[in-house]
Amino acid sequence: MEILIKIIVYVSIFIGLFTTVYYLLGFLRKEEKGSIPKILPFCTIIIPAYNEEDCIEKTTLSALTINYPKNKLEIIIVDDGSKDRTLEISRSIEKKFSNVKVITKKNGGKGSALNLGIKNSHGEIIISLDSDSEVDSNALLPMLPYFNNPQVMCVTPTMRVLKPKGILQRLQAFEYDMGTFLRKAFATLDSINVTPGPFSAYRKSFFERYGGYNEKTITEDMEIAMRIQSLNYKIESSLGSVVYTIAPKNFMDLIRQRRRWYTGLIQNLTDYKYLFGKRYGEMGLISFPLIIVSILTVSIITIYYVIKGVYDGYHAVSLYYYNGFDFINNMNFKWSILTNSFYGTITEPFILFSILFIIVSFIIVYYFNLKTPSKERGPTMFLNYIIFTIFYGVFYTIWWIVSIYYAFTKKQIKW
Amino acid sequence: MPLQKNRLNGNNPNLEPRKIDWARIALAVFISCFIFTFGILAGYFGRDVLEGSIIGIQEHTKNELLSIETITLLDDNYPCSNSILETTSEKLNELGDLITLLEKRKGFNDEEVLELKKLYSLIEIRHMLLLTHREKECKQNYNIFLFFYSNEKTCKSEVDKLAFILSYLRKNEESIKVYSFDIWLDSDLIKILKEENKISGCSGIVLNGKKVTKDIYQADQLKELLKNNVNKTLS
Repeated sequence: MEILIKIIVYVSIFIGLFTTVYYLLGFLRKEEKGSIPKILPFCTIIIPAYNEEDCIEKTTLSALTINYPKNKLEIIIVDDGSKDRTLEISRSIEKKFSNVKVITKKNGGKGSALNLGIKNSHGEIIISLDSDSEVDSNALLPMLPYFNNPQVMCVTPTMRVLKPKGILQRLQAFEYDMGTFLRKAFATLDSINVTPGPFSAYRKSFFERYGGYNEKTITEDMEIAMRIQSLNYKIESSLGSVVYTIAPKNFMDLIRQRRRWYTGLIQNLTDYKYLFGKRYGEMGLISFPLIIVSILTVSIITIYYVIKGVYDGYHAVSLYYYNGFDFINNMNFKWSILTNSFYGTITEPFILFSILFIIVSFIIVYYFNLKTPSKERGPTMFLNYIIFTIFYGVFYTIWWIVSIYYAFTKKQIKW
Repeated sequence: MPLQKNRLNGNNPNLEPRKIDWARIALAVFISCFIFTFGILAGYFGRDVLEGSIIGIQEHTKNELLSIETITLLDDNYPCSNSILETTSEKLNELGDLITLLEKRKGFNDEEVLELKKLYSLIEIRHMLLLTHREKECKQNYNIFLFFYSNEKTCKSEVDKLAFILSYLRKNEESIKVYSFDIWLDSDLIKILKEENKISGCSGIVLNGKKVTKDIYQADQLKELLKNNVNKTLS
């Protein structure tokens, strides 16, 4: 068993190395985006909301502060049959601002809310904005040059966690920072598989030609991304367009969110399985298969080491049963043993690669975040990274186990 | 606008296949192979350095063992000197830890480790004889444990338990001295000790020359045995 795990560890190390190098090489491709068009397109921001009385006002106000001509920007709030004060608050905003429109409908899910918004929109560019997000005032303009290329159907933003506090939010904060690099890398390889709900901009003509959001899927933002890819159109990533999102604070909320995301990924990868393979270029040949491989290897390795750690820990502690749990009188610290064990561990190639990954990934993520108008830098990001390094593997595995269970038992998940 | 009802996707055989940048893929494979090989070699290079330090530890262990032997001989000239006993006991414990470390690094069956263990066992016996001599000549009281153990996997939990208990007792009672012997070590002296004390199976404990026959589940049981030992006192 130990040999098998070692093989898996070293295979995944090689895959990790290849992935990092391959994505970095993607940046050698010159970005062709041109400049902001002289005649700005009319844009519609659609905010789908279901029971969002706590944040709908802030989200809408942040959209209203966007640096863009007011006569070329409309905001549509779609209340998806909320049971709280969401509609009431939205109506009060509508009264104050002429370019805000509120529509209400029977609860039918986020996809249906977005579709109703698109139906009632006048914009050439449609921007979805999740109601638990706050958009940076300069987020919209940097997206527009990408649309100079008629093949580009969507531009994704740079996502950040809004004022992260505590272990869970800090862990997610670094995950989002890493996502900035990954999404950009995926964009260079035409492999983006999700166009996030908070502030992704689409060409309206795409919806008109190929239909709106899929209302049956739980992750409509993944489905639309895969549909764009399936039609050989492009999805770009704009580092200069920052949007802040409220990350789940407690474990259960987080697991619910991830269950939805990952179950949605399984569902969409199954629906779009034909995207795998040579026909869809490097996305089908490398990027998408790597998603599956990384999920499997990370999960197997984490499960093994967690079980081993728990077993060894239990064995070590259980020995104290024999002395009546007298921990104090059994203390025995020897510096020589500690240093010898340290040198023994550090020379393991597996540990060397882990250290290399830890350093390189931080440098890469830090570098890419320097290119974005982010509020978080240096020590805060480093603290988030430490938390991420310690806990992420375990959380990631738990999320995937739960999601796979839900995907295979076909349990219903709501937004 | 036809939404949802008219959802189209690209599962269309007429769609032009995407281009693949084989040069970039090949370059990525080459660079990652290079880093991977470099990392593995660096690990092995580190191990070589470590091997060097292990050899250093071995040499150090040998020298220290010999010095203990010499110090114990000094006891004849300076009978009942506490410093000699303290120095040798401390060194013996340290060397025991080092040998455990070498066992973990090089394996239980490594020839050099086995040789060191033989030497260590001899010095242990020498030290034990020193103590018994002192008990008579200097009227000092010691509780001497001989701990026989096997490194076989099936014996691990039993041996770990007893080693833990004895180590705990040794830390907390100055009068307790523990001498550990690998049952399967190819040493005539150990074979004699094993036969004399009728040791078999995974482990065995001899306290002040008498084999402990009942199963030990707790440190307190050994403490109780020590209390019942009329000739000895617990501190």
